[in-house]
Amino acid sequence: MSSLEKVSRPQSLLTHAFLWLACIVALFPVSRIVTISLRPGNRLLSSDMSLIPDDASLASYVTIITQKPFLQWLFNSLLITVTTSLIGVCLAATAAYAFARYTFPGRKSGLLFLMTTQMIPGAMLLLPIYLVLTKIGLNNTYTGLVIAYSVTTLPFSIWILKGYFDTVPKSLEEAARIDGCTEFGAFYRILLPLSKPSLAIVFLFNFTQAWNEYLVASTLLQDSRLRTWPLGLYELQGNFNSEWGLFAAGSVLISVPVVMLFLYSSKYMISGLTLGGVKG
Amino acid sequence: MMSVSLLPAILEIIRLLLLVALAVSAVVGFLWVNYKYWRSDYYLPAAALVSLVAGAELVLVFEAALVLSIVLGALPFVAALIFKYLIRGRWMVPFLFAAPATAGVTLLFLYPLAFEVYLSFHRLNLETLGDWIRTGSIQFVGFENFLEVLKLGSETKESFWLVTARTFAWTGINLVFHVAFGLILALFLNQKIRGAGIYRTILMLPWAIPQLIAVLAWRGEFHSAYGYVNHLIQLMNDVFSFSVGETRIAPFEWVGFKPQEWWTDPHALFASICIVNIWLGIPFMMVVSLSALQSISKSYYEAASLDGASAWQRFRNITLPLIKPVMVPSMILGMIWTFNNVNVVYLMTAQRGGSEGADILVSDLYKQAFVYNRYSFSAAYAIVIFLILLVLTAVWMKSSKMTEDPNRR
Amino acid sequence: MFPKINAILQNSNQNQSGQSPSPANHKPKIIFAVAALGIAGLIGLQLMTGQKKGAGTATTGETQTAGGTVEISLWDQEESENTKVMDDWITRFTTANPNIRVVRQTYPNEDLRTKFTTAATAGQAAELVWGPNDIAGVFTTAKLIQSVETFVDVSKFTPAAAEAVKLKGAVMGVPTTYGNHLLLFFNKNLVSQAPATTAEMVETARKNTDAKTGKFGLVFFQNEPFWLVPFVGAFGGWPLSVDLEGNARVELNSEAMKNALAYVYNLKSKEQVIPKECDYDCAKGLFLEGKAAMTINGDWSVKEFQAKLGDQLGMAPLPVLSETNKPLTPMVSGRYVFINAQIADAKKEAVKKFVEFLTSREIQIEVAERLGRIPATAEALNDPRVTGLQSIQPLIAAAANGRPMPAQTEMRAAWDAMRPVQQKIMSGDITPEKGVEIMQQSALEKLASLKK
Repeated sequence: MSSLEKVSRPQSLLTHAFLWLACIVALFPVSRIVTISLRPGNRLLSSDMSLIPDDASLASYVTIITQKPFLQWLFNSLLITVTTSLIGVCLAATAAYAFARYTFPGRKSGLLFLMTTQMIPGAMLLLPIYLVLTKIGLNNTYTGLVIAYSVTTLPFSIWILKGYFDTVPKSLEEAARIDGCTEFGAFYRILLPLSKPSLAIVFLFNFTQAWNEYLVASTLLQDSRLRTWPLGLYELQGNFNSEWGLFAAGSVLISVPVVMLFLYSSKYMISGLTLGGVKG
Repeated sequence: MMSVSLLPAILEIIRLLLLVALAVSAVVGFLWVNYKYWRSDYYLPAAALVSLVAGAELVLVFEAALVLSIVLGALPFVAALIFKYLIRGRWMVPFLFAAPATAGVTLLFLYPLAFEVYLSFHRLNLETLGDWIRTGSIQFVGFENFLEVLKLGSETKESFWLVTARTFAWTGINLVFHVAFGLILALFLNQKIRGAGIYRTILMLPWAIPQLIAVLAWRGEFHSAYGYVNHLIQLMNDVFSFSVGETRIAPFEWVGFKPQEWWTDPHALFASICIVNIWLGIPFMMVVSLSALQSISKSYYEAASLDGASAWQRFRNITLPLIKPVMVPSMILGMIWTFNNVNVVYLMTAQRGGSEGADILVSDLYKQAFVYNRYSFSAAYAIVIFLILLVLTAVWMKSSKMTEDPNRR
Repeated sequence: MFPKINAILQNSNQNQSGQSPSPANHKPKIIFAVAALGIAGLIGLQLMTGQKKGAGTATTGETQTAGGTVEISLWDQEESENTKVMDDWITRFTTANPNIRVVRQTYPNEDLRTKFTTAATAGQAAELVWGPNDIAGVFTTAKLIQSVETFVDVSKFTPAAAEAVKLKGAVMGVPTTYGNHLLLFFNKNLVSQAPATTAEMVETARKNTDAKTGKFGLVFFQNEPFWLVPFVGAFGGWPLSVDLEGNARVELNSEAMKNALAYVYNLKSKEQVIPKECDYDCAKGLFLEGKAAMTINGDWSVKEFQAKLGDQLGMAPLPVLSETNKPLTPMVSGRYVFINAQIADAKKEAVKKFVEFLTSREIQIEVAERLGRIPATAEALNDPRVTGLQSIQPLIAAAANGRPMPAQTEMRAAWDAMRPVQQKIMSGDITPEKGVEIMQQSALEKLASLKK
């Protein structure tokens, strides 16, 4: 049953039934968000269970865009996320290159330390990181948040990239070096172009981490003009009179592009995660 | 329409990029200068001069504490000594390449770790917070915080051990379901069936949707009166029940399958968090399993079929061993992530109407630190958690390596 | 491992050191130039951070930004309707005081407290916090806020409003509104007149309860201690007792607590006039849908109830407990402005002006008119514009039976200890007799753990 062989008809029916069920479970909360976002504002708490309410309206969508700084949240998130991913990829790639291609004292312990950082409970780092960033004057800025994000994902990124670099034959760079290329040139002109898929994965990994992050952002940011969308949406949902409709509408607006991007890039993701990435 | 301010943000990002470039070139430049001049006779005197000036600057201009200034000021000189007598010009390229990331990791991992260790041996809590902010000094208490962490619970207080047990249950349950469902779905998707691509896309949705949104949406569905979950349970009980005279017989209800107070009943709450996290984590395992499956050459199965191996035998003897090298590291990673997953538990329990009794170690830790302001206690707590995870991972990695196919070495 | 590369590297290293044709007499110059560069860099860094220091510590620092403008920040956890009113007040204030800027931020729920404490550790917390009175206990224990008596004349507030933030004899917050208390709402289509006693209330509720059609006579957040406390008070108890020196003691293990728990449990099990399970949203939903005749809810819901039920909405103080002949006593507090302990001298004047403005006659009247809350000052309370306000009078009547909510940290421990036990008692898992013992012990443990 586990190969690509032809399957018999009843077995195929069973498979489809099972997959259908799984898809329904996967889609369930999603469909509910859509339903709630379509409900008119005065009936948010309702035991109505139909998929599309009879009195469906787009009022929540209009409200969240016109009455709330939703677009500002999105813009902030986008800016922070893209910058984080760029910086994260650059730092991780150079470090991974050193780990993959050279021997030096502290290499082994460095790699082990990177692995251990994944085991540090994140909540533990929150206060000291806040104090450090405040001390160097980066509290309540995009800068502080971007630095915190890009560094906290560094260990994992380095591991993935190192794993991938290990699979790229060294001979290419050596040839380039003999042709007079500098070390950095060999890295930049030869290795990086060959590693595009894994770079894309690391970029995506950084992107999703930063895009979805809530706790660090809520600790580091104070100014409401700097808030990212998770802070904004949580605020809508967290109030005593939950603005569920607005929350749902905002969720839909945010999820659609992200899900598209994710599904589009999932192919890279899959190949990269298994290609040496998690092999260590 | 709310206005969106773009310009200041973009300016700040430019400033940020400049700042990062500056920091990187400072770190790299520092190393480079040392590598270039370490042979010079004037190298050590010059480094000493920099150290002196930096130290003096720290004391006079920044008004830093004396000890701190001496330690920080001495750094260039110590570095120079290391360059002169230990490194001696070797390993320049890897050090230069690794330097920026190392600096970042030191700043945001090593320093916080050291800070937490410091906190864990002192007393910083709600009562001492104000004084600490003003004076910067707190009382040294030795291992008191660690003892407090490991103390046994009582009828009114959950002990660390109970929470640990729950965390292991949580990690185990999640991991088993993630791997089981992920593998089963992957096996199905790996067959020649119509619409496999569409199925895969839909099944990846839980991974693709921003976690915060998914969790909060699920939380809404677990509301006892307005959520779909209870509604569905009720519906199923109604369908699968019948009446004999006046008595209603619902077999499902006998085994406890009935609408729950998901938000307030600790057991139901824990169950609901598990359900949400299992839902969230299956796609990752599915994707990993699928790509592992796809990398297996078909010829193995053909050979096995010729030998008359049954489907189960093929799975047991070909598929499992061949996907193991990919699955085990992913599972270790999955275990660490599940163990440390504060987001899902926090978002499901920490709000209004939230209840105690469903916390795992990391969410309990977060609450102790930020809700109850027990900073020192939670620092000790964090270190204990960290050690547990460290031992756990080490043991697992050792044991999984031992059972690995020796031919791969 | 990489022999070739290492060989290349070594070559390149040698090349580099070999390439630089460094005659001995040039070397010191270069090295000292580099050292000088390093020093220059340090000074530059100092200038940069020096500037940032100024900007960064603007909240607590001594800076007066350009043009002599003083900036004060105000953090709150209000809903958008209320913050709109606050923003309007701020605009009026800054128009009158062009040299003061007030920056307001909202943090949802618990985030406000967490945020303030964390920010305070780095000296970045706001000068002012607008929030409920229980913040006072936590922040005072941590020495993060200061007494407001040097900023505003506290005698102008109604005694009850000031009492709810009094800690060790000092008023720790500026009262801006009074209330946040529970009252009885009823649907006039179903109930013609508000019950005066609990016996009447149960009787009325029974008439309106029909479990088969999902109709209930009375609904409220029955598992939440805040809704239990009025009964505790009517039975003659209170969660905390405060002695003359201001020291609080947790008193959950009391006869009154036992009776109150048994009473509410009976409403569900014996009288069956309240639903088996009902949380806040459920109670509100049932009442708004017209499926519940009466509900107990707070003054914060008045606006929403009025908007949705219109003339059908009736409001009354909580009834008198028939067993003791004493009225149910809701906890009363309000919204307060707390002042950061580390506020810069340069900002004190601005803060003084701002709290003076918030407690002025006009703004306090608007508290009633626009926020729908009870004013905190006596002069506004007696103003004809307020006494003539139909919507506010039932709130004042309901608050008259209330008692100030203690602000001490002990209260927080009490809440946290009561909640899980109350849930267990309501679900019939343990008896009230056993429950109150656990509550008391748990509260004391929580208090002790806060000190460790």
